[in-house]
Amino acid sequence: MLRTFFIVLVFVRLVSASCQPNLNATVQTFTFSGGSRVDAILELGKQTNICFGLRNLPRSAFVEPASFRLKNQTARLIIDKIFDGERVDIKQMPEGLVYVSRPSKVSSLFDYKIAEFDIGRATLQTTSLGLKNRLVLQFVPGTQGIAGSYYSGDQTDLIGPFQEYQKTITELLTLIVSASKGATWISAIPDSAAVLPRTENLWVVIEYNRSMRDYRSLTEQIARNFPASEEPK
Amino acid sequence: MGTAAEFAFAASFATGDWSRSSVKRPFPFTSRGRGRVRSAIQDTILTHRSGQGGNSFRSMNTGPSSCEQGQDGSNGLPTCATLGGPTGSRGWVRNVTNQLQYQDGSAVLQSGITMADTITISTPNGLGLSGTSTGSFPTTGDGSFPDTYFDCSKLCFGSSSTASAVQSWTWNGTGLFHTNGLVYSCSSITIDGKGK
Repeated sequence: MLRTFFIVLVFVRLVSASCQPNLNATVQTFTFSGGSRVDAILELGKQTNICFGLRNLPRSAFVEPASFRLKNQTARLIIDKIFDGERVDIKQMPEGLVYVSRPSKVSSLFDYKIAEFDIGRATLQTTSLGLKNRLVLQFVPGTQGIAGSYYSGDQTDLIGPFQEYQKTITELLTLIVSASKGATWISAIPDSAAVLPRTENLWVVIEYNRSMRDYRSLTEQIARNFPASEEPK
Repeated sequence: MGTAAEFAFAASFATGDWSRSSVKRPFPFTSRGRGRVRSAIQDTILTHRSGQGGNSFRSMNTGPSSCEQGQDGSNGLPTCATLGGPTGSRGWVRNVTNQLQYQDGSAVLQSGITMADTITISTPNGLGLSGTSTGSFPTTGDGSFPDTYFDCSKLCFGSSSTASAVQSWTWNGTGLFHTNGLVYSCSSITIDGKGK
């Protein structure tokens, strides 16, 4: 009986993941203007419910204006066009999320492994915060207490539970965002800056439950905080 | 500066009415506003309806009974385990809804303003808090945004200790004048002396 219940639970978790898009499906119309390539990706993600992971993007992807008016193109082709000219790798992860990253030779905190990520069912934003705090506690194991405030996001977007071991921050972000109703995680700083002692504000998770225009000021702020040394060459 | 362009914060709990209370202290400075959010900001304040709100991990019927490591907030309520608190920690969570307002108390009716906060632990720090997590909050069309405060401490077993903190805010990267005084404890979180 218990075994059957467990199998049902696993099944529910698998089918509830909504980031399993068919990138070869035709998107009838994709129109975008007034924002950056990152903003365009967010719009496409919301429109097609494709989850993205954006890591170590060049600053230009956040600041240079972009506009698109595409008809009857596959999602895959639209993604390629959005990042046309940018030196980024694009691949769809087994979890369904589309991972876009600029190659880096620097080992950053996004490659850091969390020894144990054992977390109950919670909202996507709460789980993301839990991951951040685990990262911090792993570096300061004697911590007695933490506090703060956060945006708990869509209260109906519950994910988990998760029990993962020795997974990198990137792998865990991919896992939790893929399990959501629809979202994108974005590294808020380039890999070269995502090193100790910094452990704060490494990434943001943007859910698709509201207008993506609401997040343009946030992506503008990310751009403003990018280190000048990360200007595209 | 003919228009009412100063900001004030007001906050209420999700189920309550807006509480519009502001402290007017002249402190003009230039901002990089856009749309209706422009000109100068004078002062802000977060106010909360006293006697309401505050979700105890221990008292909610539908949630976990305590904030212990390993407990599963099956209905989505955060626990110290899901929040990434130290092993064995307990604490308190409090949900509020804030609203960005002009100094005259009217709401800033603009969605997509990014509110961001910074929390600095001060003294006394009887909960041994050494790390703070903060985030970004996009406003909705009526200028409101939800905010969830939390604390998780290993010292929360029968402790009546408290920890003080200062919370400062920015809107779209520009600082607001008013800061909030926070007091974290194992059974309450007060903001400027209000709430539970």
